[in-house]
Amino acid sequence: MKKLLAILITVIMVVGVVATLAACKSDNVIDIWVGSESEVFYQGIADEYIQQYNAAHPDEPFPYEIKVSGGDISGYAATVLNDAEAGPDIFSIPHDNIGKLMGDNPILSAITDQSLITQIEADNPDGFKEVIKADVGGTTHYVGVPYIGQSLVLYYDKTVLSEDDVKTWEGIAAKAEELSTSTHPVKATFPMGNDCYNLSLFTLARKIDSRNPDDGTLETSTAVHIYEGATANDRARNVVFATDQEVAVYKWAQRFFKNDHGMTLAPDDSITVSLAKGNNECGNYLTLVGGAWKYKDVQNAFGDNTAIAELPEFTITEADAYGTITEGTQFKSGTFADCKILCINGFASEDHAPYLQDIMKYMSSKEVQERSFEECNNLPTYKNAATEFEAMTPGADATAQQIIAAQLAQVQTSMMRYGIPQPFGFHTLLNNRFYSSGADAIIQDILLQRDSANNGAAAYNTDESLLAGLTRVQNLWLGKS
Amino acid sequence: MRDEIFAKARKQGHMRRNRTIVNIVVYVVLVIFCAIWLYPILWIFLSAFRDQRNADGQFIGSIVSNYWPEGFGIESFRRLFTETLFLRQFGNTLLVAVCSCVLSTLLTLSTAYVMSKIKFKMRKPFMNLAMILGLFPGFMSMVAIYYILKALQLTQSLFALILCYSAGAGMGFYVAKGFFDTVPNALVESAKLDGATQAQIFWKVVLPLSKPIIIYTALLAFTGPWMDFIFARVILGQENEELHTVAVALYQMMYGPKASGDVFTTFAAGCVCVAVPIVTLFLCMQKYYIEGATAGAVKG
Amino acid sequence: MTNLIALTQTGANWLLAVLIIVVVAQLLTVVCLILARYKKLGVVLNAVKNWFVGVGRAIRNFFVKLGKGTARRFREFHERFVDGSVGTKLSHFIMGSGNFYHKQICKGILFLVFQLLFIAFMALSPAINDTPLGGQALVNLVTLGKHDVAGGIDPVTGRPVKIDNSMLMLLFGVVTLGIIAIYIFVWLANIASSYKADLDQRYGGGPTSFKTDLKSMLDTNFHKTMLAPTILGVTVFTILPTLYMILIAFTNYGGDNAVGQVHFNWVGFDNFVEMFTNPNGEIAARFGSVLLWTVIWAFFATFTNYFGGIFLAILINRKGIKGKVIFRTVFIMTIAIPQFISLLAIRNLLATSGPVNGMLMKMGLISEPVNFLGLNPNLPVNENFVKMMIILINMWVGVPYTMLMTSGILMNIPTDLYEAAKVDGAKPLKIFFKITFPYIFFITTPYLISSFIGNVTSFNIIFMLTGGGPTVAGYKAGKTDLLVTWLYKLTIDNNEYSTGAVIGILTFICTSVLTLVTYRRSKSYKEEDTFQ
Repeated sequence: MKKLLAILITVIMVVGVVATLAACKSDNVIDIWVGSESEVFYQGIADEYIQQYNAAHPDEPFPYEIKVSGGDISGYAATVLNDAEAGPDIFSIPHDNIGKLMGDNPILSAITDQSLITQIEADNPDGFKEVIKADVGGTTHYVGVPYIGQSLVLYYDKTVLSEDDVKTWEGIAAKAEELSTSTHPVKATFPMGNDCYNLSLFTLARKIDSRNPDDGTLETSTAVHIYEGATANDRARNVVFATDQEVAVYKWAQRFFKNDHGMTLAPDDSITVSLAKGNNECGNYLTLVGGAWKYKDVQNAFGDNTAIAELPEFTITEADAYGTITEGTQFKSGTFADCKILCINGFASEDHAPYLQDIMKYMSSKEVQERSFEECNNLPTYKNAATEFEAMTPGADATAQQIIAAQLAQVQTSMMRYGIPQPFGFHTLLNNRFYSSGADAIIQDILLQRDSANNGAAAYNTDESLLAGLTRVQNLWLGKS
Repeated sequence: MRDEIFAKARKQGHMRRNRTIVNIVVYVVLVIFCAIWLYPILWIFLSAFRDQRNADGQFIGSIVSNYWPEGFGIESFRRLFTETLFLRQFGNTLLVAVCSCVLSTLLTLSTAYVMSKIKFKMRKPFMNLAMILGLFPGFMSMVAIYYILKALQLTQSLFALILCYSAGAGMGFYVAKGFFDTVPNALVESAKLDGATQAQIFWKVVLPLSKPIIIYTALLAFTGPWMDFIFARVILGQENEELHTVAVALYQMMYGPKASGDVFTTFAAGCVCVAVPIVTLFLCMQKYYIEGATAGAVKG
Repeated sequence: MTNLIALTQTGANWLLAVLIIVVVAQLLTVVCLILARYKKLGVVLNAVKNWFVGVGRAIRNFFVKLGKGTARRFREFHERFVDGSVGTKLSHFIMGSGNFYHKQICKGILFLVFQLLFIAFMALSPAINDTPLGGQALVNLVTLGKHDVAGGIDPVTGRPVKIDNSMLMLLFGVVTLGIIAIYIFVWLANIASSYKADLDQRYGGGPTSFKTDLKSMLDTNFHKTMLAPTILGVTVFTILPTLYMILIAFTNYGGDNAVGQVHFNWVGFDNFVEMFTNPNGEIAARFGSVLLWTVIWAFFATFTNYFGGIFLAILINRKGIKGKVIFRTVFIMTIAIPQFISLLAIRNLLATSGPVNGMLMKMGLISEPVNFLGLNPNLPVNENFVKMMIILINMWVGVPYTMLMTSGILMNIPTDLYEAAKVDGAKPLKIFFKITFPYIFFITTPYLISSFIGNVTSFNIIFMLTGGGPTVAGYKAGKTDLLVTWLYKLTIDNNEYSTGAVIGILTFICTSVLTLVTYRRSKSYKEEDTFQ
């Protein structure tokens, strides 16, 4: 017994020492964190970078190893915030996390390499250039490099719905009604989540002003402003949400939710379950409003029949008209159009610092973005990707998977026209207000015309109460309770 | 006289019949209860071995509305072992569990013994302190512990987790103290008269008598790391999958940021891999577990 | 059929009410059983009064004792200084000198080295992670770092300028205070050791050798050896972090301030004042209802499990029931399965398209799924229905444990009690209420108390089943959030550390009030007084 104990204790001590030694990171490795879906790809790119570097500097080879790890990029900011010294050298975040990491005492390094700045300014659409800047002590710096884009799209099964069906929500609802049976009710659509991000399809809906008769592209406008302005103070005070437009849009949305074949909030089932056909002609829902990262779930339900479209349009009826918005006005569902960026942890090893910006430049270059799209279906942020990248227009010999992937990227790119980048990345306060102040619960209540604080009693069913609800949301976003 | 005897016999027969009826009712109730308690567990088990496919022949990994699977197979286990780091994480958990089991048991028993059998000045304040500390919600200080580990250069390692699990073990001495209280003081006194030191009394007299409580303490300490996922997630970091324990890994699989609806059967397979050894262990040791639980309830 | 859901959901209020009535009735029975011993109400009232008086007296006695104790310490300290030898007097200033005086060289060197190390530590302020310990840490504890200098970005390298890390400064300040406390402790031990040597010298025997002292660590001082690891572990991993988080409640760390590098400031009682002055703030608006639900939850969770467990134990242990081992094994199995597995399984079983709803629909009992845990936002949610579900599911988790525990006790009830009752011709039901139940109840009071407190701070059930939902617009605490899950949401999910720390302190106050009320009356506490 005693002997056994002694052995066990020795083992523990040895383990302890080994674990402690292992915990001390060797300084020889440059750590890069990207999304788990593209870990392998970017490890390859990193190795390639070292080869090219060594070829260009034969007498002075690249002094470090590069290790790329994959994970959940939405958690990286919090990890680095809590313990920057233990963090990676370069990591990827959604652009709206910049605010958390900056402020007057920032954690991220600013980009100083002139050639990288040139590349950023040449390659990216204007919207993205705005949201990767941060203001520190009165000076504006670029603090990240966009390299993957994302926006909401509509997923559907092309054997059930035609391309014409998915042009309007009304069309999808009609099809849903047609496919419904008494034992199998079918609904048009649901969002992949119920927060302010996913419900942006109504919040950011855009009025269609005109339609280009040749290619069908739209001129759109909106009366909604979410944190726009020149300075941080202007932005924090500029939220315009309780407008005629939104009252009309939400009245339409309320009817769409009330329709037995219309829309619901995201149920507690998985996406695959809700969309899967089972023994019927179609699943419980015909379509999904979601981002590229739900692609795999949709594929599990639709397989090779997966198709992707821009978010549909809808038309205001007499019942919805309010104020300046008259019957017959058409709207396009909107989205947040975001980018994932690469940024530098300012508290990683100082020795690595001189090499990092060049690595980022290589990882975010046009060529690598194109290959990243081909190999991992990552949506490029490169502004002319839709026309310049060959893979975006798959040839005749492309597999079904490749065609779907190309379609996903094309649709996301075209949705960018009807979206704005989440405009509050520069300050975590606004991010908190938008997502965590409880506005989403009120928007959900408005859509379902209920008052969840009152055990779901009927509410928001008059123009006045609807406007009051929208005003409450606006106030929450402005930081007033 | 005869009537009386008959009446008595009738009455007894009556009672016997009554008793049989009650027994049948009790059996039925017990069987229903067992069914209720086994319903979720059996479901996890069935889901792990489920092989249900959709019209295209694709494996369905999500929750389905039929309780009994349409087919059986081991696809979920294949996914678990090839597509996730489960084996590695299982190893991590085993390492943490064994180490913290030994350390915690030592700490708990030594504290309990001292509290029970040795009189010293600070005894009462120490017991009060233990009680007061127990009133603070445990993870209130989780963030602070992270920073302490960081100052010790220990964050994000399994060793740190072992330390966290075992360092506070001494505070949970109540049950073991209750056990040592039942060891007769006369035994200790007579050993003292024979010239034994306190250390000898502990190792040679009291411990050999304490097999039940040693096993009970060790059992709880060993199973702890298999069940906790909150502490481990904060200490190890959500990103370091290769360091995760099974509980963290399985929770992250279902509800982590990377979760997809299609992993439920894989999750169930993982649950089976965790639950089978733990349950077996519990069932083998149930005698000691029941003793400990009862003693704990009475001694508080 | 839709009527049925409406019935279940609106009927939930009624079911909850019935549940309340049943448990309250059971409780009343218990109280009556206890009170039955007192014949008159006056006696009862007197007992209640005496109890409050007793608590008051205990509190007063505590402070009186504390005051007297402190005074005595100082008197002793003075007497010892006057009475001691030159070495003892000197050891008040230079540690170990008393031991050198008595030729206890090893001990003397240890004390002296400790003192020198301490002085060096305080003076040199060694730094870890660029943050100093020692004397400088005390200054930093007050300032929490420089606040007039903004870090910003180095224009040449683009790297951020590192500023003081308030978190580490606060931590190291507390650590340094702890080290000072240890120093004072050792200093006192040094004087005591020297004085003991004086006395040994005076009354024969002579001062003890170092070897004897070491040996005593395994004998007369064995408790010190045994407790040392526990004390070390508890200090570093429990006391220090707890103190630290209490201090965080008086800073502005977290929330909107959790941006960039960790940097915050003392704000005194602002966080507590805000509770009363800002009625729309998170704490002020939600604390009352969260606390109420926490108490209701703890009450029901404790008693439903308790009575359920006893009921089950009586069924299983009934004479003439075969297969006891099998039944017991089934329930032990449910204890052994990690909670996160069983709770997540139940949560998914009850999902909209899960098997339970599927089965009910197939049987035609419902035409639309039931929103058991309120997780599907499209279906109507009844707050009370969800709460009732949680309590029922908690029975699934907790009843087997109580069953096991009471099984053991049931078997230990002295049989002569039963024999006597049977001779008197008592009915089984009467036997249960007169003998079995009072016996179990009195013997398990400590368990009831500790399980009540355990339920106040229980986390898994709510976190796994509902995550605190249904949500309340505008606030983080949902309708089924307990104090602890709220605390978790604030600190881990939202980095609102100072608000979280305030909730932590409030939770502590609640649990300690509960404990004060019940613990002093419990059997184990009273027994402690008559210990050995």
